[in-house]
Amino acid sequence: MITVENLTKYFGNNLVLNNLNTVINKGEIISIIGPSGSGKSTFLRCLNLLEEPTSGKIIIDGVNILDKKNNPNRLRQKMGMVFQSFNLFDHLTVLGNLTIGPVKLLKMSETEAKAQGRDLLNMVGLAYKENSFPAELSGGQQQRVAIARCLSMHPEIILFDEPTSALDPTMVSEVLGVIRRLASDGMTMAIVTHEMNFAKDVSTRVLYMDEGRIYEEGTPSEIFDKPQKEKTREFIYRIRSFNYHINDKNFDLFDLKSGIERFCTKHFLDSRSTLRIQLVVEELLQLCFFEGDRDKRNHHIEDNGGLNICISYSEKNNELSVEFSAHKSLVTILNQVENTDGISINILKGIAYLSETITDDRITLRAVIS
Amino acid sequence: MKKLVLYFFILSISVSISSCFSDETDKGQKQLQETKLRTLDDIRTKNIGVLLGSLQDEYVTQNFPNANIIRIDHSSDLAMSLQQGQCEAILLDNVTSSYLMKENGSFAYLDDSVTQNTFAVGFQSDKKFLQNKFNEFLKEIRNNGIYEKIYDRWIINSDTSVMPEIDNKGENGIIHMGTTGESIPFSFVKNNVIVGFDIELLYRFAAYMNMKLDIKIFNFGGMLAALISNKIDLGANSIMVTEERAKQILFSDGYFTTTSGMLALKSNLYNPGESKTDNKSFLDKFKESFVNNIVLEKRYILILDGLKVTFIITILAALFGTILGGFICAMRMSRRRILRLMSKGYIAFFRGIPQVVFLMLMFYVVMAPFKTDGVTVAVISFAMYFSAYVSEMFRTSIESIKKGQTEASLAMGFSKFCTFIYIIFPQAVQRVLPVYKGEFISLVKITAIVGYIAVLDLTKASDIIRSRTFDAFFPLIMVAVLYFLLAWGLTLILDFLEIKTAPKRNL
Repeated sequence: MITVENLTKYFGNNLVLNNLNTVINKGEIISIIGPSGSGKSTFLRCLNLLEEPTSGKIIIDGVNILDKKNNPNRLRQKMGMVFQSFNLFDHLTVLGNLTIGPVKLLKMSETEAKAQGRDLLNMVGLAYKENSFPAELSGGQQQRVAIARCLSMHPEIILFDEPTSALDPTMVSEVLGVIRRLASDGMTMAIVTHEMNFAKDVSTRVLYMDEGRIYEEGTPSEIFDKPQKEKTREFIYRIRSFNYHINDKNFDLFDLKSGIERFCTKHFLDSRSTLRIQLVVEELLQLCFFEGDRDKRNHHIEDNGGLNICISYSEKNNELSVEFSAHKSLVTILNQVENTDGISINILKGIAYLSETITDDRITLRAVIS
Repeated sequence: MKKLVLYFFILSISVSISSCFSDETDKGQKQLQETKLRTLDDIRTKNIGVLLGSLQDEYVTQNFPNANIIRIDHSSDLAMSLQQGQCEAILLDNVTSSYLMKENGSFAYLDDSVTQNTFAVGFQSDKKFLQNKFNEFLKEIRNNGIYEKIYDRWIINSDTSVMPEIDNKGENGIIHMGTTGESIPFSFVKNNVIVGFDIELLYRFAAYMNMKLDIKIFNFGGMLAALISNKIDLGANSIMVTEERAKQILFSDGYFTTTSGMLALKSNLYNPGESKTDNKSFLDKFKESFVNNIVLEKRYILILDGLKVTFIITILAALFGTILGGFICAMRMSRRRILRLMSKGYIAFFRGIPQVVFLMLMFYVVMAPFKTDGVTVAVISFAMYFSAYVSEMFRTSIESIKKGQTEASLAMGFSKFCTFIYIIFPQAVQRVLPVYKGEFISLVKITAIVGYIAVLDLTKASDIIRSRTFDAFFPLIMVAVLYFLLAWGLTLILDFLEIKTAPKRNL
C-alpha cells in the first residue's frame, strides 16, 4: 500500500531521516518506537507531507506522492492523522468538527454528515457531547473526538503521532481503548507511541527507529522479548550505561571513580549499590593488572587496544552490571592465580555473579551485582 | 457597567455645562480694582489674542513686544479665550467685534481704533487676468452704486438681509472660489446657505465675467493652501493683505477698509460704560443657547448633514480600509521577500506620519491635479491609514492561532486556501474584533480633521455655528455628545458582530 524508498529529511544541516526504507501493507498495525529525536514523528509527518522530505520516494498505490504534479490534498483525504495535541478546530462544536470535512470535501449533505458524525461519536462514547466545544472537553475526550474526526473522512490508513503523550495517566486507557477497537475492525494504522505494552499488544509489526533510520524491526515478540541489536536492547530494557577506557596499568583511578559516582547519582542509585560498583571495579582491576605475571599481562593489554569498562543499569529489570572486555589473547580477565590470599576473588564472589565469555576476538567478563 | 459609564458621562457634561453658564460678573467682582485696564499701556505685558497670521498679528508683534501673543484660528475661539480669561484683550476688526458684542454682553472696547486694515480678494498666482478683471469690476461697482447697496445689505442691515437674485448665464466656464463661511458678515452660513458681503461681491463678479461660481468651504489656513496649490482660483474671506501672504498670493485692490479695536471683558475695564446685567436662570440660558445654536435658521440641518458626512466617511473608510488591510496583511505574511518589504514600508509610512498631515498632503499635493472632492480624498486617505493599522492586527491574530489548527486541517485534506477560509479566518475574526473595535472608534473620532480639506463634517458644522453665535460651549458640547453617541452606536454594532462570531452561540 505504502512503499518508502530512501527517504531523507534534513532540518537545516541536521539530518533527521537517513535513507529510510520500509513498506506498509493494508491491514497492518505498525508501532513506531524509539528514543526522542530519532525521527519517528518526522517520518510520520513526511508520509502525509506535513513535512516535505528532502529526497527519496513515497509510493502510494503506485504513485510517487513526492512528484510535484500530484495533488497532496487528495492524498491526505485518504490518510487520517491524529496529533499529540489533538488539534480539534476550536471554533467548531464537537459535531461541527466531524461534519466540516465530509461536507466541504466529500460533498456530503449536511444531514448525512450529521448522522454519520453522531454514529462516530457513539462509537467513541461521546454522543452526549456533540454540542460542546473542544475547550470544554478533557484531553482524553478531545483525543477521542479527534479520532472520530479522522474516521469521518473514511481514511484508508490512520497515522497516530504520539496520541497519548499529552494525556494524564488516567485518560490514556480511554484513548487506547478506541485505538484497540479500530485495530480489531481491521483499520490500517501507523502509531508512534511510548506505550510499550500497548504497542506489544496491538501491533502486527514494530519498527524501532534510531539515528534517523529503522534500526530494527520485527513482530512485537521479536522486538520486545528478544531484541537483537544493542541499541534496541538498551531502549527496550531501558538500560543506562557508563563506559570507560583504560590503556595500561597507569590509568587514572580517581577519574574513573568519580565518573562512576556521577553515573550513580544521575540515575538515583542508592549509596549501597554505588559502593558495590566501586568495589567490584577496584577488585577486578586489581586482579587484572596486579596479580600473576603482571608485566606480560600489562603488555598484552597495552598492545591490543586496552581494556573497556562498561557499567550498565537496566531500569526495567532493576539490574546492575559491570563488564570488562579486552582482546582474547589476554585469556582471562579474572586472572585467578594460585598461591595468593584470594581476598579479591572472595569479595567479588560475595557480591556479584561472575561469568566470562569469549565472542569473536574479545574476551568479556560480566559481573552482575545482586 | 455600560449604564454606569453613561451616567458618569452625563453627569460630567452637565457639570461642565453649568460651569460654562455660571455668571461671569462674579469673576469680575473678585478682581482687584488696581488691576483694571484703562489704556493700551495696561496690556503691554498681558496676554493678547489675535487671528493667526492676520494683520493684527503683525501689528501686535511689532507694537507690543512684551506681550504674550496668543494666535487663534477662529474669531469665535478668540472670543472664547477672552471670555475664559486666557487673554486679557483681543485685537479684532470692528465689524466682527460689533457682532461679537451683540452676541455677548460682557465684552467692551478698551480702545476702538488701534490699527487700520484692508480686505482684498486673493488670487492663485497664475490668475493675473482674473485679478485685473476684478479690479476693473471693483472700480465699476464703486462708481455705479452697487457697492453701496452691498455695503448697506451686509454691513448695516445684515440681520434682515437675504441674497439678491443675480442674473448669470455662466457661459464662460467656472470660477472656483474658497471661503470659510465662518466670518460674519463677509462669509457666513444663514439658513444653511452661504451668504455675506464677500459672497455677494463674488457672485456679482462671476456674473460680470459671465462665469459660474463654485464655492468650497475650507478653514482659513486650508483656503490659503488650496489657493497656493491651485485647488481654487480665488479666495474671498475678509482676507487681510500681509507681506507674508503677498509673496505667494496675488491680491486685488482692497474692497473694504475697517479699523481694528482692542476688546476686553467689561469686568476688567476701569470704565466699562453701561453694564447689562443678566439674571436669567441656568435653564433659560440653556434653552436660549439651544434655540440659538440649533433651532434658529434651521441650524440642525447643518449638524445633521455634518453627522451624515462623518458617518459616511467613517463607514466607507472602515470598509475599504479593512479590505485593503487584508491585502496588506497577506503581503506582509507572503513568502516573497519583496512583498513583505513593500508592506512593511507601507505600514511604517503610516505609523510615522500624523493623519492630519497625510490628509492635507493627499488633498493639496497628491490628488490636487485631479480636482477630487474632499469626501473622496478623506475616504481614500483614512482607508489607507486604517488599512496600515488593522493589517498588523490581522497578522498578529492570525499568527496567534496555533499551528496545529492548520496542520489538522491540511492533514484532513483541505487546501491551504480552504484551511484559511474555514479554519483560520473564523478564529482570527474572533480574536481581532476587540482590538479592531478600538481602532474603528478612533477612526470615527479622527475624521474630525476633515475640515482641513473643505469637507463639511460634524466638527466643521459646529465651527460654522460657533462663528455665527460666538457661543463656544454649546456647539462643542453638543458635538462631543454626538460623537460619543455615534461611536457608541457603532460599537454596539461591532459588539453584536462579536457575539455573532463567538463560538458559544450554539449553546
